[in-house]
Amino acid sequence: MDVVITDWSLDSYLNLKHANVFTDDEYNNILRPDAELLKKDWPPSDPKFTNNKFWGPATGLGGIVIPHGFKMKWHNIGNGKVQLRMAAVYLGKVFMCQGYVKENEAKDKREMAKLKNRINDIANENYYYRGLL
Amino acid sequence: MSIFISTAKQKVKVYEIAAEMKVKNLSVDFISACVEQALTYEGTHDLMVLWSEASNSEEKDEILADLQEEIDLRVEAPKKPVRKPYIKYEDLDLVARDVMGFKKKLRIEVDRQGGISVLAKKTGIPQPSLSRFFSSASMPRRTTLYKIANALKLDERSVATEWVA
Repeated sequence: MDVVITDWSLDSYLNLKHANVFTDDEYNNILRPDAELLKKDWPPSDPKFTNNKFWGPATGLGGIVIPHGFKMKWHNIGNGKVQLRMAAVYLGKVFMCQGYVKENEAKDKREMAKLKNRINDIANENYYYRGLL
Repeated sequence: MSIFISTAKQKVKVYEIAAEMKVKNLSVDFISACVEQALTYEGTHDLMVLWSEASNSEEKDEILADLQEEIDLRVEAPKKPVRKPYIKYEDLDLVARDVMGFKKKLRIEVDRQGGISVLAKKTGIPQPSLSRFFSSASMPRRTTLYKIANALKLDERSVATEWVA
């Protein structure tokens, strides 16, 4: 399974890294290996993906499920012990779209609104990418 | 083919929120760009709804910055997938430092010419969006750089950087 690193995800990681949201150890031992699991198959068969505290559908305004959108969730990440999210899209391939810290529900809603636009851009092939995971 | 297209009801809501934005003295260019995009992109409609419903000014400001980012993204979106060079994880810190160094230099010029609020008036870019631009490690967009350069009468060299989104 191709896992595409979009320019949006690179940009979000640039900000997260600059803000020291996660450590290099966490990236190398948790975040990256978890994302790599998506390369195996779709839907992901690894048992981790049955845990809704780790993986689930993206939801928009009114709690409505956003088709093609998913969230990977990590808890107590970095020294700030934050809730880190990676929004991903499946449209024939997996697209890593945006990583963010879920500071509150409002932040999550904003990111989900943006994810809808990313899904449109991917469906219309209007996107930049930085290679494959 | 877009998957999330605003419905007729959502479009009417967009116009209502546009009127609210006008009352808040947001620039006509910005409001117009929001409306134009929200009529076809449901996610932008959602952001406008969140802005309208936000109870505190900090949250409203964050959403304005999000909206401006969405507008700029669509202006520069390619017609088909374009691959940019890979950036290694180990290089992210270096890239972020370069980007921040460039923005710091540009900010000095902005402050010399009256600061962020003056720049917001001259460019029509909401102030929260400019504040996020200067404080984040995101690679700047050419659209934003050119707006700033034109507003401050800077030449191309002043806004030339190795890292653009």
